[in-house]
Amino acid sequence: MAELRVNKAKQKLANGGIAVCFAAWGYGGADALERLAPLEPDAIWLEGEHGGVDFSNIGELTRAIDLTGASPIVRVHQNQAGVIYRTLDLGAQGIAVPHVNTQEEAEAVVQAGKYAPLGLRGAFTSRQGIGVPNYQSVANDQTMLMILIEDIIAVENLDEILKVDNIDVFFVAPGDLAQTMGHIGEPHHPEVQSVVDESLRRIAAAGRTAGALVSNENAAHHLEQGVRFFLGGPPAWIENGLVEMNRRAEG
Amino acid sequence: MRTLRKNEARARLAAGKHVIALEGLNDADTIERLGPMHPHAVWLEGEHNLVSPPNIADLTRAADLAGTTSIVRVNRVETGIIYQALDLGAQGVAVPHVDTREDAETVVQAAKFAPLGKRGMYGSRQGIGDPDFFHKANDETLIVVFIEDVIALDNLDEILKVDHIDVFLVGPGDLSQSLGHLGEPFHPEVTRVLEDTVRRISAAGRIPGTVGNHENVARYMELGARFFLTSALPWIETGFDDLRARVRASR
Repeated sequence: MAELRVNKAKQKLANGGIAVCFAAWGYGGADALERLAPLEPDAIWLEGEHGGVDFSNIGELTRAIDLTGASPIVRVHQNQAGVIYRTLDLGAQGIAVPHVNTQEEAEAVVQAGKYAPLGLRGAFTSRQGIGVPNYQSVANDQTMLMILIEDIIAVENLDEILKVDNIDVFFVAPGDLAQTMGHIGEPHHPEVQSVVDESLRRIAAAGRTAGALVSNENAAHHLEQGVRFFLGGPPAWIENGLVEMNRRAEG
Repeated sequence: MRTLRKNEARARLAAGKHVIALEGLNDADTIERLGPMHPHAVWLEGEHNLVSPPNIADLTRAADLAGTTSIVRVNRVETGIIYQALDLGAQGVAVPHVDTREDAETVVQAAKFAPLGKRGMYGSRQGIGDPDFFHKANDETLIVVFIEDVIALDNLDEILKVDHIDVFLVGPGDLSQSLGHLGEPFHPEVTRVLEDTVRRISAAGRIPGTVGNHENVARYMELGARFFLTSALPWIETGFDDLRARVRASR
């Protein structure tokens, strides 16, 4: 009889630790993801809001991530119950939901992502539940829910949103925030960054877990704001490696 | 009227410059996003990995759009496999285990149209819209052969007499196996043989290549090598480890 697979990132956060998630947007294929195993990431983020991740490939991609030991997290494209629990049924251990702007929207995420008594996730056997006889009784403990605070209205409603239980990570994203603050395409605008920092501090002060997309350069700054879930991706790492390789070849 | 896409990697080699072919990224979305980094070439792995006729067109289209030369390593010295990879859109083929002069001649016969060879007649994806494709294709087709068995070293002088092969790539992995050092591609004896082979290729006026990384690229450039098969994965690991260290996260 199988035990339900432990959600590595959720466990680390629950123990007061820090989780580092590999952003696999534009970095894909089950084969490439499985080869990340030696990096021992806590989680791998599959992009289904803006990228090619959807119901036809979540099974394959999350299987590869299961074999790495990381938690597969899928960002879904909308806050809709059927989309959220179908993604979990196909094998995601975590869900990230974009544009959660109100307490009601945050509650809807929990209702969709958790079985009773916490929510009303559709009852079905998840891929993660294969061979786990009591899956629906234990699934909530290994399901990670993350919401994106990324519109200025969500920042205004943040105190109310933070009252919603059973959300693991409140992730503040600067891209859409910049757009809703009148600074489209300028996520690093000082006004945007100051709202990001303040929001992260408010989340941490409320005793909840803050998450952020970071670069290697600004990660320490976010750590200081209380972030415990870090998302970082490979393009800059590949580019740095390539630049260095060419430099060494050219002497 | 469209004209046949230039083979940038081959042009660099012809100009005496080095070429870095990035491997381990066998995914169209990943490859297209490499564009801004201007890699010389992407290596699509079909000897050991999932690259095969059903996905070569998609993968090489992404490389075309990224402006990088696509090179497919085919599974074996076999005429039909070699020109099918080219017809599907590869700008270069790499052929493993070329052990004899006959093997090397077979590769050229398969990859080049008359009068150099007898590549099967068909309109390649690269030739779409260019009425003169069959007369230009040979000039834009890169051929890499692997020297990676002890028997190929014994036959090297003969192999090096075969014209129209752009790169003679000395592969440390299989070489270590056939030298009795399985799994030790950096064993001193393997390195000694590898360096000696690179020198011999260079001394014959041909272009040597090998598996390159930050540590060895300067050394092999000195010995005359100009083509480097390079994995981006160590760079990704370095970047991810650095991020983890900056946020004081544990594995």
